[in-house]
Amino acid sequence: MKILIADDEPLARGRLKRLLSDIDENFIIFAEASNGLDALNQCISEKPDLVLLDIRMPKMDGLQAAAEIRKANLDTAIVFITAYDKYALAAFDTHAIDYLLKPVKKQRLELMLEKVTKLTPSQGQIAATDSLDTPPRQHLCAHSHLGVEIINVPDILCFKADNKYVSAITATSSILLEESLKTLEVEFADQFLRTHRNSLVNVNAVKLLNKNATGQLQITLNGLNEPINVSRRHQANVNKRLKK
Amino acid sequence: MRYLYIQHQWKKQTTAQADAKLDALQARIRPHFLFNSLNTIASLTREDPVLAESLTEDLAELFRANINSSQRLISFEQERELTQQYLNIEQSRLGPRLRIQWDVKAIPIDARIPPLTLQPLVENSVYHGIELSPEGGELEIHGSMRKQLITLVIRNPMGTESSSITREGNNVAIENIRLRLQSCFPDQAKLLISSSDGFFQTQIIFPYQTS
Repeated sequence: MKILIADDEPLARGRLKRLLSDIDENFIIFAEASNGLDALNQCISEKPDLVLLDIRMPKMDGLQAAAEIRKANLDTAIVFITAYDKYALAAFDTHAIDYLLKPVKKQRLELMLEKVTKLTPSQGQIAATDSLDTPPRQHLCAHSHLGVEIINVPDILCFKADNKYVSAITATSSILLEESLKTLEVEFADQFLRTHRNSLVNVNAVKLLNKNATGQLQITLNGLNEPINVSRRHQANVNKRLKK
Repeated sequence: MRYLYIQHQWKKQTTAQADAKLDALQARIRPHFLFNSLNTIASLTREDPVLAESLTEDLAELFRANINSSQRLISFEQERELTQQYLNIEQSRLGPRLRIQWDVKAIPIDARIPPLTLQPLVENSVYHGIELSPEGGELEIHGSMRKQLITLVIRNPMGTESSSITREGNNVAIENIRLRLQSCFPDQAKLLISSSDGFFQTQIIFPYQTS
């Protein structure tokens, strides 16, 4: 069995690796991932049978990493490991095939491994962690045949909807997301503002709010040449939020 | 009016004292910290038994201080020692990601301070400022004294954490320290919080008293 361990603490990774090797010396263990993003990338490149994810990690937390691993259509079984995190426990309670508490006991690991080997690949996946209790994501990922593209949420200047797809646009790139503008609006309400039926803009990137020659209210963003239109319906709200 | 005000203040202070005591017993040690520490010690029992032993002692001292915190004031030296024991554990857990700058030489070691004033503030800094950064960061603890007033500054890089849930817990700890400072040094102590240029800073100011 190929097993990936993701934890930001080297000692915690080391202990799990030792316990797993004690159980079966033939396990192939990757124990270098120190954050959720590393874990995601290594899951894609190494395609492990099982990933052990710590919940509270830098860059990308374990819950988001799990959701992205699932989106990448991998047959990797996901198990969470946490010291103590009551909010996270509530969020993944119904989705995880298992979760372990630190310090993990060897017997508990064996039970978990039994569970994992009994599962068919499709059962090993978890449902999307779209619970309201989870904080907004710090990264967005686009999964394509080329792999995973990742961008930092603070770097996103705006979201634009076009028919079925929503693009997240930064100063240098853009990725296509399979999420609706509405769910993005709810998740990132603190950072992004609805300006139009088809767009959300990053409040921190706003350079200028003015009317063009035809009287259309528009927003100019730092790093983006083309201004974004503000529809009449959203005018009042945009004015209010940007005045603050 | 004045009477009502005084009565209100008095009531607020007595409940604060009672609450502070209760909190000190119940909510001081973050479960997150406890279980991670135990996990670190479990890892070290094989890799570095000597370090595992000394961290177990540090953890015991921290717990003892939490249980015995009925003392109103302790010496600054004791509080510094306690904070150091806490940091020993975090240092083993976080490794090079946690970089500590201590500079409290200016504070007389016999200065009095409410127990568990500095340590929880440092714990907040580690939890919010260092732990969630992949490269970690520098935690600064700086002390100075001027005109019999002691100032302690705890500074850390601001975390990227966006969750409001965790921030709430933070406020409870800070409010608790503020109330205890207030009850030990009425109108002479302050706890100030500020953030700028990507740094988060907590400042406590209290008078130099030796008894």
